[in-house]
Amino acid sequence: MRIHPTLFITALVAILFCFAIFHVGAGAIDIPVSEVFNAIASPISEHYFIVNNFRLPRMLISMLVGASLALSGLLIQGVIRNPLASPDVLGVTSGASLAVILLAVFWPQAPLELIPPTALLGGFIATAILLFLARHLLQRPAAFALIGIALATIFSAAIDYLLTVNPLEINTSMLWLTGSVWGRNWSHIPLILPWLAVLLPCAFLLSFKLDILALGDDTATSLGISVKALRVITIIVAISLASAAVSVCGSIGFVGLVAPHLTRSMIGNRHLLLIPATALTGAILVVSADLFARVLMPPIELPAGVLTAFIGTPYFIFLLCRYKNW
Amino acid sequence: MQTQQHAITLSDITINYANKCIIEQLDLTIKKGEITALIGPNGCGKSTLLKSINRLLTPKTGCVYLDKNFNVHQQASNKVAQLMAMLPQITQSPEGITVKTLVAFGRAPYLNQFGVLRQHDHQKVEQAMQQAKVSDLSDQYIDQLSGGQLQRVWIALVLAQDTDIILLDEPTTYLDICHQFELLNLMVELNRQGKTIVVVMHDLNQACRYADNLVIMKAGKVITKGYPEDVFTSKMLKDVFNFDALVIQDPESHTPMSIARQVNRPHKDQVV
Ligand SMILES: Nc1ncnc2c1ncn2[C@@H]1O[C@H](COP(=O)(O)OP(=O)(O)OP(=O)(O)O)[C@@H](O)[C@H]1O
Ligand SMILES: [Mg+2]
Repeated sequence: MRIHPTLFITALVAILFCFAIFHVGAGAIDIPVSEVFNAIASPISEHYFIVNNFRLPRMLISMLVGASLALSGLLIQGVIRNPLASPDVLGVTSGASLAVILLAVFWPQAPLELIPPTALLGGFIATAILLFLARHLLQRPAAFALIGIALATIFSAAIDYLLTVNPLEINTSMLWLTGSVWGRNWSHIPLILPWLAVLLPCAFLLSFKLDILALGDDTATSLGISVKALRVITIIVAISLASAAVSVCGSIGFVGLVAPHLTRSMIGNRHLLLIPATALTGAILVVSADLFARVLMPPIELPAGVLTAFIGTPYFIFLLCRYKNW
Repeated sequence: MQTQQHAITLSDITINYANKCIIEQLDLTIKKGEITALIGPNGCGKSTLLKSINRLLTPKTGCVYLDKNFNVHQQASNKVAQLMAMLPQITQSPEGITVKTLVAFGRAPYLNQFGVLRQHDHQKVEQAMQQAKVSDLSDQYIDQLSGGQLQRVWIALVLAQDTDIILLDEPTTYLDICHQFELLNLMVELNRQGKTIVVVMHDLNQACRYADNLVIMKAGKVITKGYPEDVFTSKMLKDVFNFDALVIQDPESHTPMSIARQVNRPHKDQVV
């Protein structure tokens, strides 16, 4: 199934827009769709306060996080040519989470601005460990992914341990970790928006080179690509995107795996088109996951990450079952 | 003056895989404007040598020069790519792209960050597809091609790169006999336009026919090199390939050709 890329991207924008409106409208107080714009724009609306202070920033954060995670997954899959890779499967996001938890435990009063660099540091250390352990397995996607999963499990165990011995931190941290956009407000936007604003253009600049890398390292080198440099730069961009997402809402699983797959199957392999399409798909996934997480069984609010895992894990298992090159 | 005649100069090249030494202290010059065939038994290091020329492998010691001061391993990657193209022995084709898209990647060394093709690039791509006889496949997806068609598409990519030096690692694999000779004739045509061609071949008779020079390798060493008439002998075939053969003159091209001596194959009548 192939769809014309521009058509596909237009459709994604439309879908994202619809979900965004429903997202802002839904909640303990239901705002009818027709009221949403009014509630955002006019201060005399009865919903102005709740929409502008809680719903709108939460919706925007969901979008930004979804886009970042999806883009990160796209870049990682492209650069290590591994269909099973994504920042969460490889343990990058749990490494970043662990670093933030460590910060919270050992320096509870740390300013908010310290979170993104801490997450980034954690993400990089996790990647370095992974690349070291799996240095001979780069050509074997499944084995590589398996080591990533094992690492992710260790990091999660360390997080559980830290939370158990520091019970005071538990409540807020737990929610944050399962990948929740609950309680996110305008103050969290600066943690992620600047990153995306810088990294998205970087991704676009890498797009043609990534297309060529898909022809194999040898051909890419023949065609004048410095393969090693391209790998390093792309991985840095990808980890930074994932870490930025983690620093606002923890690890929302499987968006980075599913979104690139979905878009690839729809529009093929050109990164120039894949980048916007994947970012939009990721945004849709997280906005819709957070929407459903709130409306499925009110008044209980599920973390959005639980929903994406419900969809993403079977998809990952499906990929593993279909995967033949063990 | 001396270096002007050489398209490629390798000096003191040593190449290791892990800690196995594949090529040791090899020196070789490739003459400008000629077709040089690299021949030798399986695993003797032909592909390894081509890869190191095209910096897909970094030699442990030694340098590869295209010009006196142009060491390929120290130059900007896309600058080298404007001078030298290579068809690898094993290609890796991604799914879901068309023939034309793949061939257009050959223009990569000349393009900007976003890979936008200009008028001139489109012309080169069309021309390359015509030369490689794949114009009529232009809009097909590459995962739907036969092995030989795919091989010709990759050759078109190499031609689209439009370089003075072309390295071909077993370009005739997968091709039927007619397309093999078409490709070899194309090679000669490109050579007449001034291109230097280094080609790895397993068909020795074709090599003698089409190459100006033979470079004969065994176990990571250049055993001998020179004109086919001079180096292509029964003794060489026995020493290098462990192949018992008679060398006669090809009645068509008057170059040497080998014919296997019948050793162990009994006559049909005797078996029954
Ligand atoms: N990636 C690799 N790792 C380790 N050893 C390798 C690798 N690639 C090739 N070799 C070894 O290096 C030697 C030379 O290989 P090379 O591919 O250059 O041979 P070749 O002359 O091209 O052979 P063929 O005619 O079969 O293509 C062989 O002994 C091979 O086993
Ligand atoms: Mg070879």
